[in-house]
Amino acid sequence: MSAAGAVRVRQHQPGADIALIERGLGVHDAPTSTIFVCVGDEISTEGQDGFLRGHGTQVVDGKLVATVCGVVERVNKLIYVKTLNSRYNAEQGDVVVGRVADIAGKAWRVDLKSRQESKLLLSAVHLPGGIQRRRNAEDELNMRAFFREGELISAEVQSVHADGSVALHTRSAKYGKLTHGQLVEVPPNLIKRQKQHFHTLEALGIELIIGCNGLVWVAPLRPDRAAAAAAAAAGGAGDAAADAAAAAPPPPPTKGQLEVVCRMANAIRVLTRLYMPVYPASIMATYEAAMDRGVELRDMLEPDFLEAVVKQEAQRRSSAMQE
Amino acid sequence: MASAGEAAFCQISIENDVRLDGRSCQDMRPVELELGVIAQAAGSARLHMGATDVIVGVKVEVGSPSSSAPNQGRLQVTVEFSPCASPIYKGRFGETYGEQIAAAIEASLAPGGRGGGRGAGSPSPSSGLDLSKLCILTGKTAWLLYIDALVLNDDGNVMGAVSAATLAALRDTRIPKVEVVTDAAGEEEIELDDSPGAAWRLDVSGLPLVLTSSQVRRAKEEGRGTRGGEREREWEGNGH
Repeated sequence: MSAAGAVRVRQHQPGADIALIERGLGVHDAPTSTIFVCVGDEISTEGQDGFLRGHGTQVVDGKLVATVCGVVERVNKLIYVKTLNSRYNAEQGDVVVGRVADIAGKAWRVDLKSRQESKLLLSAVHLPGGIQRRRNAEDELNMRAFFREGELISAEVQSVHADGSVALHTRSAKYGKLTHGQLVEVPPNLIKRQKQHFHTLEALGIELIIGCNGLVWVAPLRPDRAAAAAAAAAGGAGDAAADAAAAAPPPPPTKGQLEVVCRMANAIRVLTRLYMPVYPASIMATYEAAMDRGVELRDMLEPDFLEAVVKQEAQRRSSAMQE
Repeated sequence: MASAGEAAFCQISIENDVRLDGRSCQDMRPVELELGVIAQAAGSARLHMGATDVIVGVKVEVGSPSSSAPNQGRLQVTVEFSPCASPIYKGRFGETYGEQIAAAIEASLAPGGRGGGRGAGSPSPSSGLDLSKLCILTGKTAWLLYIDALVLNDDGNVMGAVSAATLAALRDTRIPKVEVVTDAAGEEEIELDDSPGAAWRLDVSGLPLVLTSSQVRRAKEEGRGTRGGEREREWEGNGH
């Protein structure tokens, strides 16, 4: 579509994003939703005897008023405003991708892009060799050998305490350091909690980790890690051999693999731009749409392809509703 | 902050000419441009390059030319970094960086195109703004151009964004027509023609654009890719 090295300049049009979505959906001048409120808008409480005031609301002069921009949700008598962009709230069992910020005492502080940094205790880390033993002083001094500051790790939320502090664990071979790949940041609201957050797409040779906190990791599939993950899933036998294989440096990815990784990452960025939920099916649909149309990697974020994705999603939803 | 593994992946990607978002090493991000965003200014432009957001306003004033160049107008470039552009711009870091960018842009716009020095080649005499067009009365009155740039968000290539936005703002600038009238006492006076139709624009074709190119090299000790020196290069072009 465009020659390499050429600079594309276009005129900035305010409201172009909304116009793009309206064109894709085939509606024009869509009426604004009545349940969407901005700061200061009054929320109607008619027809309700009493109500429970939830997050994002405040009673001003006897009227219920929104204090944030978002969508009004009503659950029985509870009225609250759900914002579109909010920080990640950890829940037990979530798979998350975080960056090690600091090492303090017997724990790593991991940044999950949440309200607070979470803690990964030394006792909660999967030791190589798979054996369970007490951590001694030597382990504490060698913490940097495990995870250094700045490294990305995948972990699971072990517990969330009453004060909001989060404890993580990596007690399985499938969790651990993430190297040789690309990180895409996505608003956490777009990520739904699902059964599986680790996806290996063998046909494409891609490893995908969708962290509940909005950080999505895309990497070329490493055969030794795939084997290690399979072995861990199979029950932990032969962990020693798997860990030794994982420690060896991986072969550098080929250009084809890099392009596939890049296309997946761009597919996720497209979904983020359009504020669509990010889960494997939607990512694959966007990926395949790009391949079918022969869209170049750098053109995936252009308005033309975005509009095509909106149209495809609209068709999918209408056909799903008809069924 | 990126880990060693991510940096290595980035390095391999660049070596294969597939950057993390799919661009080749020669590609720039698409640019979104808006002209005339500041009603009070003589010319203005707002430029988006990725998430980098830069706004440039040009003000024209009647003043006296410098004694070393009495038949030319003057121009002055100021670049300011909004503290919300990035967490690194608190304290005085934004000031020094802004001064460096302003100096580079001033040098690129000044006649003779002195440029950044490294790799600029021999400057052609036709490059740069023709400041003699800004002269009204030799030695006494001339147009002064004040170019103010504000960086609202820093997502990389701020130098390129400010340079491109400056060229766009200069292209958008309307300078009122001036008539020199000799009054009864023999003094020369100037009359400004305020009507919007009677304004003229500067010729910005052939003005250089300052870009940033990065060199990614591998640090020998650790084997991890690092960003090497950023070099500003001037590119002549038919700017429009």
